[in-house]
Amino acid sequence: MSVFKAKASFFSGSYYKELLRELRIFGIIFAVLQLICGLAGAGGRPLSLGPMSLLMYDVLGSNLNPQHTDVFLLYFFVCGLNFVSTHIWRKNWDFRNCLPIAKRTMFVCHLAAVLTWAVVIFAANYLGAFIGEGIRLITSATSVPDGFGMSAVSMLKAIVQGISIYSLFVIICSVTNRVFAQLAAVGVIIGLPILFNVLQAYQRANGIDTLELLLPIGIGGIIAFKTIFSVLLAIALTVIAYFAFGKSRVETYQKSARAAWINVLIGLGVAACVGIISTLIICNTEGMLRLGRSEASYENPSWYYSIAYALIPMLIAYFVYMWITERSFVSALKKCAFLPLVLVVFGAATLIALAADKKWEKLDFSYENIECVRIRDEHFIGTSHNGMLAYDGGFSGRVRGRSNAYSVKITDNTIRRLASEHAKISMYEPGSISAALENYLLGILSPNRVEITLKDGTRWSISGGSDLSIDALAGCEEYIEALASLDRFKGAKVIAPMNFGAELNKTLLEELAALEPAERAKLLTDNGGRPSGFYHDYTGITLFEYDDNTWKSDYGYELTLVSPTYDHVAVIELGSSFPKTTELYMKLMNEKTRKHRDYEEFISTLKTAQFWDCHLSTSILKDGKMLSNSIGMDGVQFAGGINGDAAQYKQDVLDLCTFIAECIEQNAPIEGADAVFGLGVGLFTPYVEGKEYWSYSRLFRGNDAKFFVGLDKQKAEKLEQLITSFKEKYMVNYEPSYDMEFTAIEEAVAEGSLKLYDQSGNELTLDDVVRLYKDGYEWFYVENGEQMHIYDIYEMLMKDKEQTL
Amino acid sequence: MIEITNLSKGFGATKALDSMSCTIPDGCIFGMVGANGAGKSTLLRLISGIYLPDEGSVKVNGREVYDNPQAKADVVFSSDLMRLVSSGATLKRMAQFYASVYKNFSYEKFEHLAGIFNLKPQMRVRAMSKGMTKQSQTIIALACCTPIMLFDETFDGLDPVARNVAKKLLYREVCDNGTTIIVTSHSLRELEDTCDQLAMVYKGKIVLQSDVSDLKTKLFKVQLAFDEEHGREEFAQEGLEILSFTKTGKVVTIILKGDRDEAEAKINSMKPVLMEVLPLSLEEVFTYEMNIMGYKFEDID
Repeated sequence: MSVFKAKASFFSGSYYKELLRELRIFGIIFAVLQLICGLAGAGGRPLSLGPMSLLMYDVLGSNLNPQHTDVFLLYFFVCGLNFVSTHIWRKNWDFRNCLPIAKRTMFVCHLAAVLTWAVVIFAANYLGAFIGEGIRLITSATSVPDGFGMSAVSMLKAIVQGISIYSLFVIICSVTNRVFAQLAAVGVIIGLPILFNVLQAYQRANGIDTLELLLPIGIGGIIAFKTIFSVLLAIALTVIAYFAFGKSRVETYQKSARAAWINVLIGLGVAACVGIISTLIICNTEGMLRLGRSEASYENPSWYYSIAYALIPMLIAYFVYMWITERSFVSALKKCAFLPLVLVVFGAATLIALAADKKWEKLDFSYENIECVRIRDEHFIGTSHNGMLAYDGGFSGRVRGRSNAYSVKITDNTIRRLASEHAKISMYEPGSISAALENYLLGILSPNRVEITLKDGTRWSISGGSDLSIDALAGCEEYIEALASLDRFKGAKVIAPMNFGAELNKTLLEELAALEPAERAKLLTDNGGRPSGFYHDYTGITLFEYDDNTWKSDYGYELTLVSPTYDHVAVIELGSSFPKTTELYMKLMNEKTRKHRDYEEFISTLKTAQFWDCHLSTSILKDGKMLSNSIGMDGVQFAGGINGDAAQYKQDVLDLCTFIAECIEQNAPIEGADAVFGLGVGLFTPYVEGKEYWSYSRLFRGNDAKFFVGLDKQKAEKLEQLITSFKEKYMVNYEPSYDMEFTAIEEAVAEGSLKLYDQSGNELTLDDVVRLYKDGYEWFYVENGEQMHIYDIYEMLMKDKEQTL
Repeated sequence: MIEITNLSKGFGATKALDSMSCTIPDGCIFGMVGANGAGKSTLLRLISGIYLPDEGSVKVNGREVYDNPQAKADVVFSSDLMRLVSSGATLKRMAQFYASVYKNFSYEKFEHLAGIFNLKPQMRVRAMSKGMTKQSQTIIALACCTPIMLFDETFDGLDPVARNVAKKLLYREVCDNGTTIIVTSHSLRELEDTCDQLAMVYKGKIVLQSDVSDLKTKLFKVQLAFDEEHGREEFAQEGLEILSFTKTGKVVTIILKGDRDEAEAKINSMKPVLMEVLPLSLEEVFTYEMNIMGYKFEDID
């Protein structure tokens, strides 16, 4: 029949407004979710110990990590479902289609309304981020400000992907009417490209990305290509959805798809998926194809050999699908005539693999033909948590900083030779299904790649391997020199909960510049030995540990330096290498602390010893060396159980605390003092009604008060004397449990055959070692910079001795 | 005007409409009667552009209606579907929705009609009784002010008072605005005093379509008494079209079709002692008409 084609308007303003109203529930819910993501850290990363993150962690008992990108993907998923339910499902179809609006106009209006709410949700993230930063600033929680630009990019990416998901929903439900066929279509659309990718990868004999080989545009070009591709894919799917919905008819009962060929196509897709999975499973079992293979001599079986294993499951899957959807045995049997078309999928995968291999064979990766090698810093660091690249938490691509912001060009002969060897034997590793899915959906490339530039100027990126190891690179002067360069930190600033000002940035950069290149490279790439993951803290919080009846403090003042573009982050540990920065930092911290509203109350509590527990640490920075001492005290009100005279104990605690409080109150200038003391004072549960454990945490970021007090020689000596006397009288004597081991170590240090260092890298004298050991320290730094336990050091000495013998 | 030509629509093996043809003129109330599954609602869905015909065409004011916003703008479809505006919607929200898609929607008319039925715009549609839902659908459709209005089973579930009010409103709508209204029902009695034209739908076909006044005037019942007995053949010889003939002694009851005056003159020539012409109910008229066509009315309704 002929249908008079009326020209329908592309867009209906009134219907759009109506849909905006209909979608407002979803819009508001997701905007709130996105606001929470923003609060937790713009970009949804709970980077800091901010209150929101802590709340989530404590309340939910797990590392809840709401992601702004996930929120968008979920939002578009829900909107796709909403469109299907309100415009395609039977009853609503009847309701909507009697309205004087063309179906295509409905689709356009719905998409426009969805995108409008997406903008609101987007804005909610920023709002949350601003509020979150504000909260952190007020509560003095620590955090790294986020790169809002990069957050925007990742959210836009998520929106593009979301549009694809939304359009896929519309397409599938427009061309198919039955749930079974719809589910099958979803499975085919998501699964087939991934499986295809895996299949063609298994046919390959080299380690270069197929796209890179077939489209010689370099790794940057491939990232751009994938980005453009995802945008074009979203546009194409939207256009297809527009026409598919326009042509859709819901009243076609008893048909799985709007047209017979569509159902056959879905059936063939199902068959192809089952065929590929069967091939991989069966061949893996047979040992002919293996995941994560690494042998260069490995021969791939041809597709026709592989497919032989898959024929029967493929045939069964196709026939069952057709039988269910056609509801006719005979019809399903007839449709089997189309099954050979599946071979096209297998053939295409093999042809792509063959083309990639042919191209690879023509490339000359000999040592002589390699111009240079580029290695990204992650390769050296082994993790993206620190070093030159911004920490991205491994979530949702990079939300801060550019992933390819820094790479080191190396022409070193050894490295080029290693790269040549590596290129010849490297294999393409498709990785896990989840990685393949990520690659397909998000366009993320593995960061662990080495870029080789040949003499003809072409660049090839090869998956990283153990051949180009960290050790090999660490020995390469060219690489170390590049790492030591401060160019990337030009204009960098120290990140802290409070603004320290430009002077601290400048001083730190000046002192960094004055360091030896090797030392600087180490500092700029060292991850400080901190655990990665949730509790990743970026400012200098003194860490106290209660171990073996004594309080320890590493007194490591760390500052996080971030480049202006957020591409590079370095966690700098203050100490002997940065005397001026350390002094300035202490001064600035002092000024801030004394202005705090809880300061007076804290001093009063300390002065009168109105607390249950207290631990006190002192560190003296003298001649570029930090020496620490620490004690623990019970509050005077609860001094029961102390050996000795309780009344005297109370008096001694009071004397000590009063003296400390006076020292703090004295607020002597640090400059010009004979010594600079850092006093760490922790009051656990002050004896004041209504005040609990966290009472002073706002003041001191963490659990401990930290003051930097300038003391003259007389006062410094008195403080030392008071602490020593207190320790001798009341603290349980530390009884070393490694006497035999330590004796051996003591002898080795005395002989000079063993050198031990403090955390700043300063060599310890024998006296230092003995004193620290008696104070309860069991861990020392050895010559290669590694921190070792006394027992391990002893073992090492014994091994050396055996070898010598 | 609505032109339906050879219209067919099937759902799988079931043929809902089978080569249906009819023309519905402007400014009338067109009633459609038929049993469940006869094809009434399918026809309304085709007229309102929900379904694409398998064969034939539906034209509203000369334009194909399927996925044609201009043609659909002339039609409003009042049915149970209206409550799907959104879950938890109020009557006011329904009105806002229809106002956003029908340019001529009149809030004034809506408020006036809501007042007549004593419906509060803040009422939630979900909380309404069946009758109130029907009333709501009716006033929303009337407030859309389209030239063509389709009412699917509108009078079902209404109490007698509300039913009469609804009928009057439809009648006034046609009189005041020249609107074309199509009403469907299972019951002929519902439509008898409302419609200008009636159609009987049976198994996807319109088996009878006629002007109500014509139907009522063309068929009539005559009761006669004679001095002598007269058989059916004698009346037939006079040229009368007899649909039914019953004789009890000298008393005869005949259902006749044709011009009443002409028939009376012919009967008078037979010199009856007593002659009385009685009106037929629409149901009776349909019964006899369908019998003529070979259908049994009880099969249909």
